[in-house]
Amino acid sequence: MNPSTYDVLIIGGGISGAALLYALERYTDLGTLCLLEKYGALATLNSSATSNSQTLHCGDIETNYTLEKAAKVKHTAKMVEKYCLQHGYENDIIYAHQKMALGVGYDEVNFMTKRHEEFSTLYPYLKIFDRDTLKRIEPAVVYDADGKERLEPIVGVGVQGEYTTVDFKRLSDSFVENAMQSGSKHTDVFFNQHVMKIAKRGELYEVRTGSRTYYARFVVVDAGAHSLFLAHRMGYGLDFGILPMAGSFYRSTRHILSGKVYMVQNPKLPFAALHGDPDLLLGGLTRFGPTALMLPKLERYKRGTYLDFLRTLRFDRNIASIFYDLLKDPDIRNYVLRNFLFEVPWLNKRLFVKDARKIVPSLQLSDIEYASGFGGVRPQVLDKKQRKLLLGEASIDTGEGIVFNMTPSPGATSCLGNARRDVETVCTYLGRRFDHARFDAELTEGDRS
Amino acid sequence: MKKLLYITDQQEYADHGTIAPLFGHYLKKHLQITIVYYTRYKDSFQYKGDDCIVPESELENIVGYLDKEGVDLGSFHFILVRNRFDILRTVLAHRVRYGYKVGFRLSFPKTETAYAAMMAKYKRAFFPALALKYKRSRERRLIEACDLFLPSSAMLAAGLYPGLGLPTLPLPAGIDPAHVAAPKSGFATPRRFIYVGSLDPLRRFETLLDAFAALTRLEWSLDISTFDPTYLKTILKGYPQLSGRIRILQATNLMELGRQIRACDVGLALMPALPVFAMTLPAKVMDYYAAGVPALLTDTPKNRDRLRDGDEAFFCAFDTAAIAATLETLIRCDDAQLSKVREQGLNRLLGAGRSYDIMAEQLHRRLITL
Repeated sequence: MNPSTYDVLIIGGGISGAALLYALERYTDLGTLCLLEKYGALATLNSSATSNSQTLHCGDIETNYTLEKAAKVKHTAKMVEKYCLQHGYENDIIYAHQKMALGVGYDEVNFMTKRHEEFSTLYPYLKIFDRDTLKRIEPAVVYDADGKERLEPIVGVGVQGEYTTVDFKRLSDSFVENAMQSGSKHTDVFFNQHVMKIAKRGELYEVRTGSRTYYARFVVVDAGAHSLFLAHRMGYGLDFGILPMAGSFYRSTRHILSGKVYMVQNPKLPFAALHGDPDLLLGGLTRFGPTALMLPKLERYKRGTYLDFLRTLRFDRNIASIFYDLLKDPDIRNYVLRNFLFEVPWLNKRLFVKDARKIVPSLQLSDIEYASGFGGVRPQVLDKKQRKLLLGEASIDTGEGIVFNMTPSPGATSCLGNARRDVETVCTYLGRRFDHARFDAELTEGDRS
Repeated sequence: MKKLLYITDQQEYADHGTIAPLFGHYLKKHLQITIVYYTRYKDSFQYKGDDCIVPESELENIVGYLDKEGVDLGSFHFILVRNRFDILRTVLAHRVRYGYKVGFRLSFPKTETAYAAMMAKYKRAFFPALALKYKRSRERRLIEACDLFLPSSAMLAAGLYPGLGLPTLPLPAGIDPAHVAAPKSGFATPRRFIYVGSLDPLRRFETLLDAFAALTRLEWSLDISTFDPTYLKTILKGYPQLSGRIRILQATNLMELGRQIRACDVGLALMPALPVFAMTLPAKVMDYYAAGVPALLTDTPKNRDRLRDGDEAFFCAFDTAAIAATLETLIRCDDAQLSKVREQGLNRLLGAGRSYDIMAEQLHRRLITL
C-alpha cells in the first residue's frame, strides 16, 4: 500500500477528530489511520480552552433538555469522564467543580424545583440549593452590592464533587498521544495541512492539501464549520447552511464565583444562556459569557474565511425565510439587537454587567473586563428543507465512504459518543471489526446511575 | 375504549386543579386519555406516561407538530382544547382529515378579564371595546364550529356567547371525592383566615385589607397563599399596622395548598361583583371545602344559587364596612357553627354534581352522543 493511502483519514484535529482517531486506533482492526490538521497544533479553534466554557454538559443542569435527551447526553458525557479517570487525568484534564443552574423569580424557581424531582431519578446526586445553602456555598448569587439579600426568590439546582470541567484542548492532545503511543497500527498525524479539495477516485478518496495529496478508503470530516464548506464543494449537504455565531466573554478582576453558575435557558436560544465559570486558564477567576453575534467568517481570531462563510451560507430564499422567522420572534429579535449593542464601545460592558447581575447582583463595572483572545465561533446549522435553525449537532453520512460532522456545543462533551457512531459507520462500510464490547466495557459500562 | 386528546394551555409541572382529578383520573375510567401540556423551558417533544409535553413555540401549529412527532391523531375520537382559540383554530382546520370531534373548554374569561382591567384603569376605552367585540365574534364563530362547548358555568356561556347553537355542558371547578379532608376537630384562637389565589388590581384586595384594618377585635390572623406575591407585597406596604398578622405563603402543589388551608379556619373568596367574577363560583371555594374549612364569599346571585348564607357558607357585600362586620362575626363565631357550615356546604356542593367523579360520568355520556 502506498504510504499516503489510509484506511481512514480524518480531517480536523479538534476534539471530535482526535476522539475519533483514538477510538479507531483502540477499538478496531483497521490498519492505517491518518489525521490532518489545518494549523500547527491540535484544537486551536473551538476546542481550545479559550473558546468554550470548559463545561462537561451531562444534561443535569441543561434546563432545555427533556429527560430522554438528558439521558443520551449523560451517556456520552460519562464516556469522557471514564476515559479521563482510566488514564489518571483528574485535576489535569478533568476537574470537579461545583456547578448549578440558578432559577430566579417565582416561575423559574417553581420550574427548577419540579424539574429536580423529575431529573433526580437520572441524576441521584443532583441537589437543590435553597437560599440558605446558596449563602454558604455561592454567596455572590445572593447578595447585592450593599450586602443585602436579593429580593426575588432563588434556587440553585446542581452538583458538588462531580466532574464538571474539562480542558478540551488537553483532552484532544491526550487522545492523539494515546493513539500514537499504542503502536498497534500505522497512525500518522500531519499538521499545517489545509485541505483544499476532496474527490472520489475509484474506490479511494483523494484529499489534496496545499502541499500533499493523500488517499483513503474512508474519510471523516470533523472540521467544524468547514465540514459543511467541504461537503458543499463535493455536492453534499446542499440543504444545509451555516450561521456562525461568535461568542465573547468577560473575565472578572477578582474571585467572584466558587463554581459554575448557569441560568435557566430560553429554549429558543439555548446557546445564549449567560453563565459564570471559574476559568482553568485564569487561575479560577470567573469568566462570564458568552455573548452571541453573527460573524461573517468561519474561524475566530484567524485570518480570512469570509468567503468561506458566504459559500457555506448559500444564501437563497429559504435562508431568507429562516432569518425572517427568527427575527419575527420578539425574544430572538431583542436578543440579536442586544448582542449587537454588546459590541458597541462604552455601551457594551455596561449592558453586559446589567445582564450578568441576574447571576451576581453585586457585580460592578470595575469587576469585569473584556476577555481578549477568548471566544469562538459556534457553527449553527440552518436546515433549508425544514426552514429552521438546528440547535444541536448535525452529521451528513453520504453512505459512500465519507462523513461530514458539524458539532457545535455540546459536541465536545459528546466527542466519544460521536466517535462511537462514526467508528460503527466506518467499520460497516469497510467490512472491518469494531470491538464494541471493549469500547463499552472501558467507556460506557458502570455509569453510577 | 374511545380515545380523547386534551390540549391544555397549562404548563408541565404546574399543579393542575381540574385536570389531575377529572381528566387525569376519573374520566380515564371511561376513555383513554392523552393530555398535552406545554413547556416554556424545554426545547423538544417528550412523552410522560400517557401525556405529552410540547415546547410553547409549537402550540400554534400543534396538530402538525404532534403529527411530526408520531402522535397518531387519526386514532383519537375527540380532541378537547382548553382556553386557547389559536389552538382551537388549528384543531378545527384538521378535523376532516383526521375525523375527530372537537370540544372547547373555557375555564375562565381571560379576554374579558383583561378588558375589565383596562377599563378599571382608563375608564374610557373605545378602541379596546371595539376590539373586544370583534374578538368575541371571532371566538364565537370558532366555538360554533365545535361539536361541544365546555364552559365553567352556564352563566359564562350565556353571558359571553348568548344563543350558541351547539351542545353545551358546563364544567365548573369541582371536588375530588377521594381527597376530601375529614371534618376539623379544633378551630384556632385567634381566628385564622386564609385567601388563596392570584392577586391583581382587578381583584381589589385593598378592600379586604381595609376591612381587616378596621376590625375592633384583634383575635385574628390572615394567611395569603399566592403563586407570585410581587403585587401583594407592594400593596401590603400601605398597611404597616397589619404586618404582624399577615403571612404570605406559597404552595408547590395541591397537597401543600390543602395543608395550608386546613391550618386555618375560614377561607376568603371575596371579589368585586364584576361580571368576570360573578359568572362562576370561585374555584378556591372548592379548595376550602375539600380541605375542611367554610368560605366567606361575595354576595352575588351566582354564589347564592350554589350555597345558602349562614348554613352552607358566609356571604357579605364587597365593601369595607360589610366585610369588617362579617369578619367580626366570624371571629366571634363558635367552632361548632364553623364546622356545621363546612359540612353542610360540602354536602351541598357534592350533591349538586361538583364531584369530579360525577362530572366525569356526565362528560363521558355527552361525548359518546356526539
